[in-house]
Amino acid sequence: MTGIIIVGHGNLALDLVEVSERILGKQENLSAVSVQVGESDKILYQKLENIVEVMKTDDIMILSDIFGGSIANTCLYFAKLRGHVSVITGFNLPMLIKVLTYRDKVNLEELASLACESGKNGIIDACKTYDEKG
Amino acid sequence: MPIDFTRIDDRFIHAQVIWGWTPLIKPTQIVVVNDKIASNENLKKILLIAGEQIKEKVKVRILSLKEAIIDPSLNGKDQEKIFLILGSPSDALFLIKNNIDIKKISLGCISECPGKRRILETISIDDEDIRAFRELIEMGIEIKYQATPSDKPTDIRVLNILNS
Repeated sequence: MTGIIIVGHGNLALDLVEVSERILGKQENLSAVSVQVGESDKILYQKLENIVEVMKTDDIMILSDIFGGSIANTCLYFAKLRGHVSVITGFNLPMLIKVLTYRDKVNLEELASLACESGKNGIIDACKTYDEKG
Repeated sequence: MPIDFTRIDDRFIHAQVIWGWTPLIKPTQIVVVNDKIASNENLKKILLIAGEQIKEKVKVRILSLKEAIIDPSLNGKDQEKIFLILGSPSDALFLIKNNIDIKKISLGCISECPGKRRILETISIDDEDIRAFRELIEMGIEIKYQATPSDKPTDIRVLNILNS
């Protein structure tokens, strides 16, 4: 099983995890990290190390909010130093649900493709879809 | 000619710089000057690929302090509009003492970490930072705190943060 860590600005990560667990039920090896304004990358890096140590899974997937942001930059740095870590940015609920459902069925590389695909597929112009149904 | 815009923000290239400051400042070059980043290939690459999110035509460069003081663009030898990003007041002081023409500093973020105490929402400092800020002010450098582009810049002399 791949351990999943959600990292986001403010309370995005905590809320996303809470909502996903309301849908799928309580999950193991799923952790949320909230990064508050003014917190350093060192603090985030330390938190990631601590979580990974507790999870005891070889493979880790980090879902983060925005590519190029300070959080994603730090997650990427952590991934490159540790290894066996995938970082996917632009997280959303469809992505997290997919990842939680497939993480014990596919390897980390496949899980990363699924995360990107489901994240993108989850973005739908709902009104347009409705209108097109006639 | 003085550097167009100098900001202290130890997150260097990140979302606020990409989508907030850069469209506002419209630089031709973003120059990050920091010894830790410049000497770490991983960190350097991560910040450079983050910089690729900038849609405007801007060159992003990462230099060490030593490289910075002899850099032609930072020394006003060409027509570049520079957005200079530094990690600390000490680095700003070093550049100014080595003839880089910085007149104003926008103070954005010095992150909280062990050894630094938080004095403003996005600013945590230690004694070295305080000494550097005081020296910069004595040299006549204008330092204004502005956490985000929409905040009103406030001169740090009126914020009373250097007396603690």
